[in-house]
Amino acid sequence: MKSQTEFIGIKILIVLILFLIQIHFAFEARIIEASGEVKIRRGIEENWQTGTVDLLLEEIDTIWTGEDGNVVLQLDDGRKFKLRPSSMLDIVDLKKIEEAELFLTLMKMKVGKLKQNGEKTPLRLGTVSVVHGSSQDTSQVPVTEVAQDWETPAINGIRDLFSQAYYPNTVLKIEKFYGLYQTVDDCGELHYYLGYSYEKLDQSGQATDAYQKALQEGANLCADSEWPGLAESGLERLKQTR
Amino acid sequence: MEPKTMRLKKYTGISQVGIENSPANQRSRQHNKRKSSILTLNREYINFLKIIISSDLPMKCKLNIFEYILFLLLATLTVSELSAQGISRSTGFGMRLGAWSKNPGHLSFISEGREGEQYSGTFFLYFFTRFRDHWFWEFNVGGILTQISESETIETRNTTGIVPMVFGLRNDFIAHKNPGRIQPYYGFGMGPYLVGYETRRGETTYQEEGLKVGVYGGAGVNAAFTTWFTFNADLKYHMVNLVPSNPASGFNLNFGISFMWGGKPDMFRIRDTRLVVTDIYPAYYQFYNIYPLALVTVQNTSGYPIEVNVKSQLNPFSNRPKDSGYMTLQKGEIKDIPVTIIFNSDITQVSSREPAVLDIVVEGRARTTLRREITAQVIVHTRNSWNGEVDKLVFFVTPENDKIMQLSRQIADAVKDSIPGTLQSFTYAQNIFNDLAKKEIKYQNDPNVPYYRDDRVHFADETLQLRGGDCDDLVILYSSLLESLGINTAFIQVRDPEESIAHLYLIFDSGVSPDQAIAITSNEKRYLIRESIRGDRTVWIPVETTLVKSGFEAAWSRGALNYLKDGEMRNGLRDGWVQIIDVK
Repeated sequence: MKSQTEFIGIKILIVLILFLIQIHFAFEARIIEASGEVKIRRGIEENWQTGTVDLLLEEIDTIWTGEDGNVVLQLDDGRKFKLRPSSMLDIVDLKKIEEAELFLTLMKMKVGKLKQNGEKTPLRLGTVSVVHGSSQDTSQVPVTEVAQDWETPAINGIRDLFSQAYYPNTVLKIEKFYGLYQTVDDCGELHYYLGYSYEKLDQSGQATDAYQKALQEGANLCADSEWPGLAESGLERLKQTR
Repeated sequence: MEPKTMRLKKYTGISQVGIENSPANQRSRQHNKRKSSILTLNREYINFLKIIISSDLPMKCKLNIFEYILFLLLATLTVSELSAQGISRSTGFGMRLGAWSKNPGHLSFISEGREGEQYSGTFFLYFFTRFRDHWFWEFNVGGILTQISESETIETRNTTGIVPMVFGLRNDFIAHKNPGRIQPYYGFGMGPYLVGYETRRGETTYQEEGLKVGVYGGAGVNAAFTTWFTFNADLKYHMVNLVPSNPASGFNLNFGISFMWGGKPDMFRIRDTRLVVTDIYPAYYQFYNIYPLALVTVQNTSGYPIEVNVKSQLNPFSNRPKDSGYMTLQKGEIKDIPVTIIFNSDITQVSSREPAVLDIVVEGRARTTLRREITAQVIVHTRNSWNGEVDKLVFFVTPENDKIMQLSRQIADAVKDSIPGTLQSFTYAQNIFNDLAKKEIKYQNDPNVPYYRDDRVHFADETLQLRGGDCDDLVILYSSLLESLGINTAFIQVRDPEESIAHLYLIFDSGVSPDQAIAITSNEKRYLIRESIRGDRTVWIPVETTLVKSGFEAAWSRGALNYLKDGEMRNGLRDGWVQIIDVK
């Protein structure tokens, strides 16, 4: 009887340990300061709700600030993060990322972009004509009616990450951002952030690539922009450290 | 069941399918025609020979004519069809008859020389055995007798008798390139020569005899009539006592025959047969048309290039054997030849697990054709069996099925006029899923069958008929319906390391570009952006098909949440336990 009780006790202990581990690994953030318009979106829900102080956010959630909105988040590892006006960020983007984990994720993202061999090789059948037509109904949902500008708040979120020295998070967020939007007319700003973050992470190769892209974008699109100049300084720094 | 007999009967049937003018028959007729013309030619030679022998011509003349006839016979052979495999047997013996002379221009039984009239005759017995590839050890023992008579002043007669007992090597030097009927060779060797001289000048006789060491070298040609019989012409130079000026040194021209026996070296050897597929799943029968069931490792052991073909069929699920196609194997080369099968329609009707016999015939050809047969047993599973490999699940998707096409088009027709082109695919997918809910299709687990061990997957029409199925059945049903409307789909397989069983759900291509995604949802976490086959980036919607009863919205939300949590948050995509498999 005693041994049975002991056994149940051990089981409860194991469950508790697992629960604590689970709590430890489930990343969370709490709103500790909020002013102006602050909204949060839970997971995959469509609707936004008001973000208030003491609200606990899970890693799957998203936070957004309006033009006058400011919010300070307390992360579960003790760090603080300030989101400035007109910004949007997924809570998962604040999760502490180890360097090894970051590069593993980036590598996987890049490998995923590679075309698989043979996947898109069309089979030629000499005697058969196959025509895949498409509908002539070209009516489109007018973008102006439905589109919302998520790009600017998302870039502002990246600016916040960068300015608060969340460099691995900046790198991951920018790479994800390019996965979503592909091209951004920002005079090389994001590529500069990417270059600087890589530089801080001692990845001079990737930093050089990013700075060069920032230079190209700046030269092509906006000559008066500050980003090409900053990117050039970054390249100089990299040359000197070699 | 006697599979070999069955197969042979079938082969015979196939070879007889044809028809008088089939290429095989034509070749056979030409071959027979050539054979009969050779025999006629030989009969004519024999008749001619009889006339010569019975004629009043001097013996010297008759003998020389006989030599020419032998030459002509050999010449005839050289132009005849080359259909043997060179000297294929390992051992043989023969005998040769011929003439000897110090001067190669006087190689006749009887000739006129500066020194007088020369008579010569030689007789040899020889034995040979294969040493390596086309090299043979050869032992010759024989007798050479020459007599030179000169009677201008005093009658002088020089008689030389030589008994060579020589041992040497012979090389059939073109056999590795051309394994035909005519095999020229060169040879060399050495050994003791027992030599005896007798010079009779008038009444005086001088005799001398002794054992000398000599060497020989020469060349010849073997003309193989069968694998056990050849004609032979051979020219050798014997240098007795290692001195060319020795009266016993000279040229020796012989003609002869030889008989052979012993192991015929195989043209090829089957080194290994590996079954790549031991279990055949009828649903992927098209896959096996290109994917090998087995690999046969063949080695060319002939010493010359050969061509190899592998015929294979699975009894009773093939109507005819499939050829690998002839491929060339160089001397000594080893090649893995894949064995593939053409299935008949019976394979799609298998309702119970049963064994089948894989018959493989390896054909090697180089002038002649050699066949070797191998059989193996495989298991054919039922038409609904699936081995759990998610990439094979696409073979269960049947967008061309009549019932499926009818249903999907009926649903599409009902809504197509009310939706803008951009959202067409999305709306079709939404309506189809909700229609399945209306049809009371529900999730039903496969009882007592683990997911990764021969799961049972229903085809889309079967799931419709049964009004339900497990996750893979419902994924197949939904995918088939969407694909029948030209909407691309992909499976998402989740092999969560923390779960004991795997799970499957689906994503489909909405055809909507990322900048229009807001028309579907304002939350970018509810979709994936993927590159389509055309190369453009579109929005793909995840759907948890097991929630068919709850409708599209619930299934989409759960699908999106699962993808987000497992694929992104828990890094399932990065770590490989979440996989996306395109149906196309």
